Amino acid sequence: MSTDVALPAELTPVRLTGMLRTMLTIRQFEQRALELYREGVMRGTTHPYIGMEAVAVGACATLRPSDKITSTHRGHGHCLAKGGDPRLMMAELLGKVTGYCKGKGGSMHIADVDAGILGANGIVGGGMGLATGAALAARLAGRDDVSLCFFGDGALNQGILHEASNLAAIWKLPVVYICENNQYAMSARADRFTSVPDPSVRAAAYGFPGVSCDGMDVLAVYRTVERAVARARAGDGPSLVVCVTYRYMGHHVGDPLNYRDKAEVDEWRTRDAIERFRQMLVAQKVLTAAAADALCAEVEGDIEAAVAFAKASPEPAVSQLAEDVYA
Amino acid sequence: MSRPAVETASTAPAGTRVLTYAEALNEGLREEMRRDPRVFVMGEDVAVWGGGGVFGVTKGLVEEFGAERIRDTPISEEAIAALAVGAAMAGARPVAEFMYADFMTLAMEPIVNQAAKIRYMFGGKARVPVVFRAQEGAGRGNAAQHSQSLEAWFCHIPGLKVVTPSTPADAKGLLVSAIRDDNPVVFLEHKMLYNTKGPVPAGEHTVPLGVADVKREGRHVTVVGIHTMVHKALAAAETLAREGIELEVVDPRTLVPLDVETIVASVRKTGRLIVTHEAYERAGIAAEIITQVITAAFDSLDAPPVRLCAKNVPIPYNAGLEAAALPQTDDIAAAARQLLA
Amino acid sequence: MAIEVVLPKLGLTQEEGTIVRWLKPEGDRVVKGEPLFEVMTDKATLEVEAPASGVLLRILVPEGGTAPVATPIALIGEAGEAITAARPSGSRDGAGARSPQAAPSASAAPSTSGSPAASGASTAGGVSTAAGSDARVRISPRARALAEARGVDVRTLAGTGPGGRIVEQDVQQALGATAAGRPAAGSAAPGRSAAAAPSPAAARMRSIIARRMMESLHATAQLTLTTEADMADAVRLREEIGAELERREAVHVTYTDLIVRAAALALRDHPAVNARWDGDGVRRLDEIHVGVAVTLDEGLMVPVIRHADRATVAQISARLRDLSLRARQAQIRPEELEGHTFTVTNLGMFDVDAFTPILNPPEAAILGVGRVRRRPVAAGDRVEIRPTLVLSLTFDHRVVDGAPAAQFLQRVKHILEHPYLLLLP
Repeated sequence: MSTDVALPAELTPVRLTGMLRTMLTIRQFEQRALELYREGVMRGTTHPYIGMEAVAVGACATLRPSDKITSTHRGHGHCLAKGGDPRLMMAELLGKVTGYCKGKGGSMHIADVDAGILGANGIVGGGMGLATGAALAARLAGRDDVSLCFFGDGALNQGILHEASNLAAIWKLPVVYICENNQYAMSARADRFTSVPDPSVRAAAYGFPGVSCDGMDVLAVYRTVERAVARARAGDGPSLVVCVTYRYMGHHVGDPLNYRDKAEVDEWRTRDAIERFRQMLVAQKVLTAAAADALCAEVEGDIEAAVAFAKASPEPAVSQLAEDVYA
Repeated sequence: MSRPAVETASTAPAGTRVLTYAEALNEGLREEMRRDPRVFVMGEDVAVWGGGGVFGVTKGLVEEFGAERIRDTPISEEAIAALAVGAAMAGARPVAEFMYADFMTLAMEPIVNQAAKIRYMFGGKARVPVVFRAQEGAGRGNAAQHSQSLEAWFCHIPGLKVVTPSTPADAKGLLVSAIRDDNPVVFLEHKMLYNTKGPVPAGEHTVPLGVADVKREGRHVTVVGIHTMVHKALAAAETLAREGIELEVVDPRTLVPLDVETIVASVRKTGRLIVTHEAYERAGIAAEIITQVITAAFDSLDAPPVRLCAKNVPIPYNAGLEAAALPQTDDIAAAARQLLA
Repeated sequence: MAIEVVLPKLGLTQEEGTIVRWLKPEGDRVVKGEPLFEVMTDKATLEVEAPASGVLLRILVPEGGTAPVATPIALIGEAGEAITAARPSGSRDGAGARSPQAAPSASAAPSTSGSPAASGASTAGGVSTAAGSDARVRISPRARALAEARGVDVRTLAGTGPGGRIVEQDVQQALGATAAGRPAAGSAAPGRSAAAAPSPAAARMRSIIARRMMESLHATAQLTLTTEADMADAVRLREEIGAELERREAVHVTYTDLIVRAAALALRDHPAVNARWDGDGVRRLDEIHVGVAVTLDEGLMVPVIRHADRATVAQISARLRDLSLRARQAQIRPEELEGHTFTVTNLGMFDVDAFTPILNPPEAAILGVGRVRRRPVAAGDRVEIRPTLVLSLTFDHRVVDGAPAAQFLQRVKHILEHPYLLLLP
């Protein structure tokens, strides 16, 4: 990311600072969640988004509150970027009744439907049909809301992507399919398990635009997704945006990581999105270095407060076991 | 006291018309779509296909509501279901159709992992008001992949409701209730029932989910049946009445939630129970119903409960074999006589 | 300290018995050695004596109840003694006389095709039953509930349901009401007649006979040969010696007696038929004991003439008479029903000519006897009226082949046609 690229006009300093803040929030939230896991306080598993913050933040910066997103099992970043509250998310990770899902969903099912977050999803590709359906609902109701569907390179080959893409194309639905290509499904390398080196070309099979962008550059993501969102909102139909990025950590906690080497990770870290964005904002005098540091400290405080809130919250009562099975 | 199987317009109460099961469903869809603009229909060949869908259920609807709300889809069962779930989460009230229940196998992920669980997983802060419609059943030589009754699978999943109407009036009333229900409802029709006729009240007609119907009263044997087996049980009841044996025929109408109280009250009266369905015997819903009855009313049983179901074979093509695979009227009569022997 | 009266083992293969009658009520004094109860095994009803003197404190298994051999069925002690609750397993509760309750059966779902699960016993509210009393009574839950509610003692009922299960209608009948839950007998239904239910003892015998007959047909390779014996000489013999034996020994000789001896003698000459299938092979038996089927009111029994080949016609006649009488009076002993190596069964008194008797396992053969009938037969080139008798021999082809079986039958016929052979030792 060059430090003298022109910033998009609509991204005011407040918004830009907000984007940095969100990226820092995601990074620190994930790091803190990993620590809680290692402490034995968190159960199940978690899928850290560390390294990929530019995609969630860049993409969600294009959205209005009434727009929808569907997320993945690696969904904390999307939820925070779409306006999720770290306290309620952290409480959900600890299974507390104050969490987004009253402790019943956990890391992979965090959702806030009213805020347009139609849920993280434990099924790879599970959000594709949902996001497309949400776009259909908007169309039917005469709203110009847009749906963003986040998914990974591992989901590129689920049948539902084919079905949903086709439907979105024939009906010109306002959905943007965002593929976070972090190079690996679990151990499966994207360049070996997908039939084409650049997945964005698959959009051509459905007759809608497919583009690739640098997923380590939050503004590149922003610009690319913005175009796709505008197209969707205008009623011209879906797009596929492939963001090339990298997850610094394993697929989940406990991943042996034997399928890639540290040199590769180190290489990607040199392109760290947060570091680059911070440098660029300071260089472009959007905020001072000191302010940037202060921002970092502030986020730290927020995350600590979220953890404290979560730890102090009560567990759900067993009497609530059968609640909310049915409306 | 049995109601006549078919009432003519002249014998029916005022304000009742005689409709086919398909016409009754059509009416239910039409009335609900007029009442609530959020309701829309999505499925294969529901709009353009002459006559309105392969079974005529959507006849005339696209003319009234347009192609946006009566929406033909490509053959993409998983996406049909998944889009319906997503649309429901985003405020619509979709009625997603599968041409054959057998094809729902392709849509199991969005139905089982998403629709059924989203409300619970999201802590009660989401609703998925979707109706998944399909038709089940055998008897027409459609063979193994187009003749199944798969309600047991859906009954097994918490978060889904499962409905199986057997008459036109029940079909309309339950469909309206299903559409108005804020939960995902699997609404299973039967291919051999679409052209059967029955009285349907005029005006708004709803049948609540979770309420069984005693279709015929009797003192000696309770027969619980679904879909076509309700009618076969009624036919057996006519035959047995001439022998002095009275069947009480109970139609659960909704399988989840099940109105076990009505069934239990009947068994307390008769002491004998037959449960019959076209689904395969093994792990079919009869096992669930019988277990619930035994748990509730063991001391009322004068004989072990009996289940009459399809044999554990894929439904064969040949007419004789197909008939042998399925439970028939004579089987019900024989089982009832056996219980009284 | 109360002593237990246990169900004695009264036969080699007996595993359980049904109490037919208590000869003393609870509370009565009994003397050691005096008859205390009657028990029915799968062979006979037997009187059992009190094993000790004292007061019959508690009857644990009432009339109609069944208990395994060697389990306690009553308690004898001194009046006023505290009874520690006796459980059929022999374990004891703490002090205090309480009827133990058997745990309800764990399996709640009877299969549709198999026999129903036996429901657990319960001490009834309305009916005072001894501990574990109806633990083995087969009764539907509905019938049990009705019986308890209306004070009907289920032990007095015989079941008309599958496998002899007591069903609601049986309780209703005991109450004298027409069952609402079943089609009325008078309707066009092929309903149940309101005939008197068989006694528990008869029902039990019926079920034993049913089981035995099916087992015989399933487990053996049986077929039947027939032959016709000219009985003219046998008729004359019977007339001649019959009068003499009647006068001398008060014995009334029947054709069955003659045939029993004829069969016994024939078995001596054809030891292959006096055999049984052992599981692996044929086992010949050294001794000849002939069982004779005796018709009872509600069943049949087969008392045994031991060493029939060594008994005279008179002895056979006397023994068979005695055994039959006592069988009909339910006074026969189990050992008198055991050990037969061959059976004779006579239906001639009912005008049956020939039939296919079912083997009486573990025997290899059974001889069915028809009526002595005067018929036109060929005598040389002329037709004469002579008395003849058809003999029907069912045999087990696993043990004996057709030719040897036929030869045996031929020998029986020969002896009957030359009946003075019966008089030889």
